[in-house]
Amino acid sequence: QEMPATEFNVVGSIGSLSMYTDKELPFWSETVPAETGGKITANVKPFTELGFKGGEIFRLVSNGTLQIATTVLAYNSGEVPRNEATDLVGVLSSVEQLAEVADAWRPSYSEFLEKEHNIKLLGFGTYQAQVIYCRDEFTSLADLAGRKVRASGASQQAFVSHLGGSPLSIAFAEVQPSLASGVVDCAITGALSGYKAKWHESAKFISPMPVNFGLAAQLANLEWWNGLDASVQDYLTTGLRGLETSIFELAATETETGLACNTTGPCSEGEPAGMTLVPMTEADEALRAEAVKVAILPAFAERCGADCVSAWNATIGEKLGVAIQ
Amino acid sequence: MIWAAFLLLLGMLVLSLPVAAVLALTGYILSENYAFFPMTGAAGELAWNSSEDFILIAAPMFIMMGELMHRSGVSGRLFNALTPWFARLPGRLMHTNIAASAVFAATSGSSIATAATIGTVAIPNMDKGGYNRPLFLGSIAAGGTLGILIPPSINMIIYAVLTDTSVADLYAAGFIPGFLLATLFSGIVLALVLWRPHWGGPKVVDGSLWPERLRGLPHLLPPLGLFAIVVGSIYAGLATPTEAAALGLIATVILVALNGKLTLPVLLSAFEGTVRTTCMIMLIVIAAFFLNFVMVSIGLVGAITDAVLSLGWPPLGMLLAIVVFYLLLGCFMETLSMMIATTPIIVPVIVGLGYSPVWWGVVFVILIEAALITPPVGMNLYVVQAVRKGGGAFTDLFKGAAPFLVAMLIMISLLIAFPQLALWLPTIVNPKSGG
Amino acid sequence: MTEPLPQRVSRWLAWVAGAVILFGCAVPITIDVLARYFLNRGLVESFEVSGYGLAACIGLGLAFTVTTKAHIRVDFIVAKMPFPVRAACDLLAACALAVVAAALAWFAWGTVSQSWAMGARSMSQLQIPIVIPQGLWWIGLFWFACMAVLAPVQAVIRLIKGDRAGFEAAIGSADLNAEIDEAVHAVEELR
Ligand code: NA
Ligand code: NA
Repeated sequence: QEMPATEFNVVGSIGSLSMYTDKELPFWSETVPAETGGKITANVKPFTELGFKGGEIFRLVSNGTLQIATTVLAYNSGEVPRNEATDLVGVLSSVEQLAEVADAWRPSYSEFLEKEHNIKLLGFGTYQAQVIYCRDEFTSLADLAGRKVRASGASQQAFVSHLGGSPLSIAFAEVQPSLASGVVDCAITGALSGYKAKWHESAKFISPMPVNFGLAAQLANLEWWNGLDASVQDYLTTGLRGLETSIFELAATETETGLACNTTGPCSEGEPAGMTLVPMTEADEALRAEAVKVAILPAFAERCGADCVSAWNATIGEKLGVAIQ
Repeated sequence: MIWAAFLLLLGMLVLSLPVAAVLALTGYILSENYAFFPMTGAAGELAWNSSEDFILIAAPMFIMMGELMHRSGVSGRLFNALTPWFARLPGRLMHTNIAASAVFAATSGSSIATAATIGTVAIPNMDKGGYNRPLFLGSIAAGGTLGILIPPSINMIIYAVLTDTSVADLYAAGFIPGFLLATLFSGIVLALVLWRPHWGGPKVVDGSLWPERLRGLPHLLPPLGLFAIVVGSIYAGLATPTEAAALGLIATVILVALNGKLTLPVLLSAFEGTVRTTCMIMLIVIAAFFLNFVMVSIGLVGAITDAVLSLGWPPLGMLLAIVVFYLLLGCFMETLSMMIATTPIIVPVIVGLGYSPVWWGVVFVILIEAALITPPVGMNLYVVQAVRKGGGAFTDLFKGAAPFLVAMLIMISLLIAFPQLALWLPTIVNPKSGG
Repeated sequence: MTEPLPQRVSRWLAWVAGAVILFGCAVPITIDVLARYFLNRGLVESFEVSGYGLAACIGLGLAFTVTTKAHIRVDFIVAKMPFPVRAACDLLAACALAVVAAALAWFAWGTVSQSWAMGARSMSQLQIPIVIPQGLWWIGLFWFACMAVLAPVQAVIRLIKGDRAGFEAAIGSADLNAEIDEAVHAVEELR
């Protein structure tokens, strides 16, 4: 098969995290040239190195400045509510479940992106479960009432409010010192990334409940994609689905590892941190389900519109056995 | 590619194009020639995102604080309060200049504002006392540079944004070197005056100085109060560094009002000064973000980093080469543009050599301080010369600043020998800091 | 002598931009810090609002940097040149700024119109349509572009009329001393 020589730019996810260093970077810089005999050359750079903040990537793929990019879909949930559909706060319990739900959502979402945003969906990816770290003792989610919790975006904030906490917006770069000095009592971040950032030196309690995940997607500009040779398209389609699978596996492992490292181990990343794990009780489950029903789903439905709600109910809702009214 | 970019930048700078335009045009030309896809499509998004960057909000607030402090009379009283404390130390008012600068620096994020403020209140005393003029002026120009090393600091905030380091860590890291450098400045003055006693101004006054010293103490309260608000609130868990700048600005407005100076003309002229400086800086920041995007995309940053690292010099040799490079560049370049244009290229090299970005942030700020007092382009020299109403040769300032440049080099050597001077305090105030 | 209209408008916009920093950034942030301390919660979403405040300040204030010649130029070599060379460099510098300002307004328009087309809203609980802050920012950038283009045009006209001083006043390299004098003057009138 004759594959034409093809060169393009790829913008990857956050440069310091494993999704980029362990998966995307080796995929684009080693696997792809090796498997195509050097026919495909991809220039891959994490978006953080390019000076991006995240929210511009979706738009730049859409307008054709970027050819292929990975972005956390929630960065753009303000303008594209469907980006949030699979990663709603409090809805999912594991990375495995996220993978199933994302697969169910794929066909309709893919069509939507092509039609509305000039974007080709090539695959998903995700970060580890985002969990709650707190400075002071709590035994159930209800104890978060009255605490200052750093949460980002309307959905996380609505969730925190429903639990009775005070959601605060703080720039990401300022979260870590804020948690240390007590500007905030609790903050939400990845199960393993919090360990690596040594949050355990000021936070002593951790909840294993996934608040959400940080679902990402590999996107391509549609016009550019359509101009590619069919053999290149075929190769990339298959290759990126493989990348998707391996990223989900990584995220599942890291969630487990992260919770273990933060608490009593075993920990492959260093010494166990000895934080107290606050397991979910039945009352917590009820509180979470209530929050989803009362605060998260109706607000999402309002942002997203009728078409989107019916698409959600037919795919994700059916998988989960939940329906938005 | 590296040389093309360098010559392009240098050529346009020598032609005296505005720095922001130089950065933007270099980005555009590089993108047209080396990118296989036009990169200008990202310009709008980059401009918007840097325009609304929450961390950068601190910069205009510090600038406005300086504009208002300037007009409040606080600095004059601070200077007079510190004067009797150094009345018996050879070099007298020159130590006051440095001490007042250090204290004022703890409330001001800018070196130029510090030099202008202290210079205005100090220089009228220069000829009364019969001091050596160059040294006296040098102590003001150099003392003023402490404004960006002792927290708060606009330059540290911009460095933090460009390198993704913590502002709180940088502030803590700058604190000890800042006061140590002030002490070194004083030590240099003392040594020179002991060597040439007639440089040191009038002889000691008679009688006890304690009544005067104690009477002046209350005038130290406003600056210390502002320091407590702008820096203390961060470590007390009340505010993030950006929020602390906002608290400082509001406190300054209240201070000016209490002094009866808060009138509409004062406010409007403070607004004008703030907006003029902020927008000029932000246009450079926006252009620098665009240039950075292009340089990373076309692989230029990677190429430079590889080229430098492949020289295979030992880390210390490489570090010294970079220090010398900045000392030379600092003679000719305005510091903010120098900082914004080079940080994205140099910091990856520094980190690649195994140095901490927080530690380098402190060393880099001292190099910027050096640039502020080296001719021909040295903003603090210009400021002090302008404040000097009676006039006089500009060369006085070169001569006077030289000894303090030596102090800065000593400080950098100390930081290389004992990195803990910078890195110890961050681990104390913020145990989780990466150092 | 009263200030010509374009300059006066730029100055008014700078006042607005400064007021935005004080009342649109510092005041809301202070309210939120106090509310967090005393009421244990945020009140006014200052985190988001002040970001828009900074953007508005930058947009609205940029024209003032043209009319007051605030942009930094490394001109210690050019300053030593005879007038014709210096004038050519000044003109080139003004044109470069005009090109950059016009390009900025153009690309920013692309961003604003994309936000409009997507119906973008902020992700926070405020759900502000992004075109409102972006539009304000863009209006400022547009005026900035107008002033940046006007400056070299005006300067050339003055030069043709033989008005060298007028040319220098419009785009000549900024007189550092005048700038610093102004800052010093501000202190002295109060001492
Ligand atoms: Na300072
Ligand atoms: Na210099």
